[in-house]
Amino acid sequence: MGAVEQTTSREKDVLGGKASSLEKSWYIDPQQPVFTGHFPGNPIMPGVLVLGLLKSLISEHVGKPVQIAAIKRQKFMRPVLPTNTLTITVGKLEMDGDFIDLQYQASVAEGPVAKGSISVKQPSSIEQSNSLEQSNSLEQNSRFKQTDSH
Amino acid sequence: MMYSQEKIETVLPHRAPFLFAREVEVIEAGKLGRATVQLTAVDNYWQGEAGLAPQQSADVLLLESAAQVFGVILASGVEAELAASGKKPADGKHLLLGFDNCDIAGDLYAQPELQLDVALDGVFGSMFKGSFIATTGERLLARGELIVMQGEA
Repeated sequence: MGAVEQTTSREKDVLGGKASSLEKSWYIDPQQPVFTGHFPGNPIMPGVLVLGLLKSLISEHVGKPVQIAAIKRQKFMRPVLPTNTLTITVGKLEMDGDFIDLQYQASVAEGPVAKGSISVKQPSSIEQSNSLEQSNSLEQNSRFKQTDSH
Repeated sequence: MMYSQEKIETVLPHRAPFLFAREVEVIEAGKLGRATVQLTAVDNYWQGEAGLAPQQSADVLLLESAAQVFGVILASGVEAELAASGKKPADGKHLLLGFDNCDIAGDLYAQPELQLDVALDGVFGSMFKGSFIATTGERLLARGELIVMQGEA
């Protein structure tokens, strides 16, 4: 058994159509190294790793690595445990320049575990300067301007 | 007050390879703290998924680091309060409930080390809302809000 086993993967009309969905499931292997530290004697998959698997799903779809650029809203509702099968479904996915805005939910057999409204983009190249001008890049990239308040 | 890794492990349940708050300066107990984190110098914690490889997961680990530093800050407040009353301090176990309004710069991956400032913004029953900013030098790399709930994982 692989460290992470893909059990299903479906996609249709993502990026190309108005009706879109993208879905993938992973078997959460109890032998993953993370469980020795999160937590000893009480293994729980870190919630942020759901976001990591979401990134993987999007990366596979667009054919290049992506980075989280913004999180409008992210909720963790229930822990993911070793041996769970975690399914991530991207229900809305839109290209906006360099950004991909998406809404997703993640679930295990017992119910939903996480959901969020997130933007991802391809990581930019290495920048060397520490100038204040470059510090404005975060402002320029901010998705706050384009997302609704909540 | 400086929290060494040894002291952090008395208040957080996290351990290697998923403990990133390795030294936290608590500036104001229960309210404000600062840590230096190295998101590219972590051990392998997940196998078989490219998106979770250490060199590709600085964004995710930044979020986790903010939550861990927040946990240390909250624990420091509990320690200070209970130490004054002479009771045994409670541990700092907490549940991460979510993030809001986060922005992460595109070149986060290129930073060998960054500073993480985390502050408590409000308490709502057993829920604690905080905010974080990540910087290197004078550059702002990330910012956001996070919510945790004190209690057993």
